[in-house]
Amino acid sequence: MIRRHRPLLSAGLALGIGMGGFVDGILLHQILQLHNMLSARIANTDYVGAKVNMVWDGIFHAGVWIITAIGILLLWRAGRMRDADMGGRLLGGAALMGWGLFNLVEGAIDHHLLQLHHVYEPMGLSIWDHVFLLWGAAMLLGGWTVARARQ
Amino acid sequence: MARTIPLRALLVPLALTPLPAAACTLCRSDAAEAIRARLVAPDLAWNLCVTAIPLLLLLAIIAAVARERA
Repeated sequence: MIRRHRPLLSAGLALGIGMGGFVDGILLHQILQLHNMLSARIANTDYVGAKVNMVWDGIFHAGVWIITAIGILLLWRAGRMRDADMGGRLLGGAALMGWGLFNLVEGAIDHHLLQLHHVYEPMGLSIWDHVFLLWGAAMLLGGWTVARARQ
Repeated sequence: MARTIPLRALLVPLALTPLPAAACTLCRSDAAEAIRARLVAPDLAWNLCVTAIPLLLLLAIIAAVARERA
């Protein structure tokens, strides 16, 4: 049974991870400027530090772009499979799960384990980094619920 | 009959004028040298690895889900 769902599930996961990464990079890094990719290791409060962090933000965005492109390819592949489940709820749920996974993995590794940056950099590791993880867990569970409720 | 000079003929020499690329903040200036020096510091490989690790882990999850089982 799961075999029928895998093509769209994997596509939705990849697209959700990509979209989640872009929300982090565009909203938190660039628009709100709460942190940058390496802002806990390289201070972004002076010109050189801000520019160096900008380069690492770009490398992060390049990686997220590749994952999004893979998601588009997987979606195209799923669309060509005769027996693949192509339900909208499965795609939406999988995308939510992907976004949640992004927050959980990126938050756990970059914020907590390696301490490369934190959600609100001036506070260091703070309640906001835990909120980031909880947000991810909620999206993962919500996505799982939506994907399962499609039948 | 008066001949008009094509706009392109005026723009091409202008485009070829060797003006410094002012928008390229990584090209010249002391700040640019400082930025390049910080980027290619001994921790470059480490920074590259730690930036890539979460993304590679997420790619592995996608690959595991996408993989067809016989």
